[in-house]
Amino acid sequence: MWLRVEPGRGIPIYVQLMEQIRMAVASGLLGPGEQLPPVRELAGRLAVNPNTVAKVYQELEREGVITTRRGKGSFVAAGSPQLKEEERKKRLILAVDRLLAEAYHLGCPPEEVMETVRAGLADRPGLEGRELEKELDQS
Amino acid sequence: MINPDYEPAVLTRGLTKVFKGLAVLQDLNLEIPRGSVFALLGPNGAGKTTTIKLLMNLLQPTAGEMLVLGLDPITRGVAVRSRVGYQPEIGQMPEYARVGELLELCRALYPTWNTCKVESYRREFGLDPRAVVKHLSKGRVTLLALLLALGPEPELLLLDEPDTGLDPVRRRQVIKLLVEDVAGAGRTILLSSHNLTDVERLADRVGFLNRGHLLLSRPLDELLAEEKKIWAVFPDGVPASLSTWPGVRRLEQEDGRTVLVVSGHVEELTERLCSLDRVTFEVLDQTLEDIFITYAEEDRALIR
Repeated sequence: MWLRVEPGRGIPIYVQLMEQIRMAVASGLLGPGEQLPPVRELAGRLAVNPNTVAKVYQELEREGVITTRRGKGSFVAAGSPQLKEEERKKRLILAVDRLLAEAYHLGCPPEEVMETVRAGLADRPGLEGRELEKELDQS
Repeated sequence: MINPDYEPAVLTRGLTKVFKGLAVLQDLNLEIPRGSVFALLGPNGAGKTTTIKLLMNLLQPTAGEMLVLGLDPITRGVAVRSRVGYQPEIGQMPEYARVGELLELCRALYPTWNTCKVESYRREFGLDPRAVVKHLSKGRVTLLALLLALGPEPELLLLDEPDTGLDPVRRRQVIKLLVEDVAGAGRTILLSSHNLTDVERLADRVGFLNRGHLLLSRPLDELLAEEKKIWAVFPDGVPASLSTWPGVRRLEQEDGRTVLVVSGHVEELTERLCSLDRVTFEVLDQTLEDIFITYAEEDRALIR
């Protein structure tokens, strides 16, 4: 399993796991319909509290990243996750802030940042880039 | 008063223990829901072992009431002990007994003893049934105590420093076992520990105990998400009302910056800071250790 937990970072373990699974789905490492391990099994493998893993699955389901079928297990959802507009916007701005801070310290000019983002979008056919570009144009 | 209809795994109200005129535990109100893993954290002498011993009726409380699995451990001692697994702190094991003899003894004591499981754990822990306790390493004694606590497959496990003397590989092995076989089966664990990294993996709730006081008792995720420090620079002066903003516990000055020690309301605070002109700030995550130290310092400041 590629999932990793790092205690002692000051970030709740369920947040760490959610981020990793979200990333894996966005990058295609986890494909639609793919099954996730049962809660107890994953908790054992990662050596973390089963309630933590259960919470990860619940939250991801709420966000539409995975679906849980009773008695069958949890699966990566087909199609893109459905977050509330406000929540989506907030998270995107946060991610862009991080990107821009890094670009500042690397001394990248704005055109290079934009170009790199466009190239990144072109590499990910699943992600339609309009929203992200709009966000970048504003900042 | 304790409501008998509601039955968490552990419930105490005003639990107090005075020992030689010194309150080692003061007015403890603890509530541990069934199916959770609760870590009691605190420095030596904070009252962790005293709490566990009171719940096992190994000490008599000076005041207060408690329920363990819905039963009063003082009047229903045998019933409580038959459903609770207890791993005492190191040094409570009869020195001249052999591992096998202790296992036999406990098997006879507990009707729910799972011989098959105990045997598989015993092998996993590398415990020789012929070995004499006195000759076991510190880590092996800890594993033996854990084995005896797990044997009856109790509804509630009380573990007093379950990582004493264990190397990282054994510690991980113990965590996995507790996760899969105890927490995964919906049973409850109350443990005391100094190892905060392991606590983060295992626990879903934590309590901070300091000088006999329970400073807080909260879900771990909530604690890590809400306890933050915000470093801020106010070129036009610190707002006079800053210390009364929601969630602000206290203010500190460090390297010419103002540090807001914050408990919750993080989003609201960042919005307020954003609305001020020329203010720069950063929200810093706090580790469990940082948070504990912050609370212990505030507790110490109170007695000065």
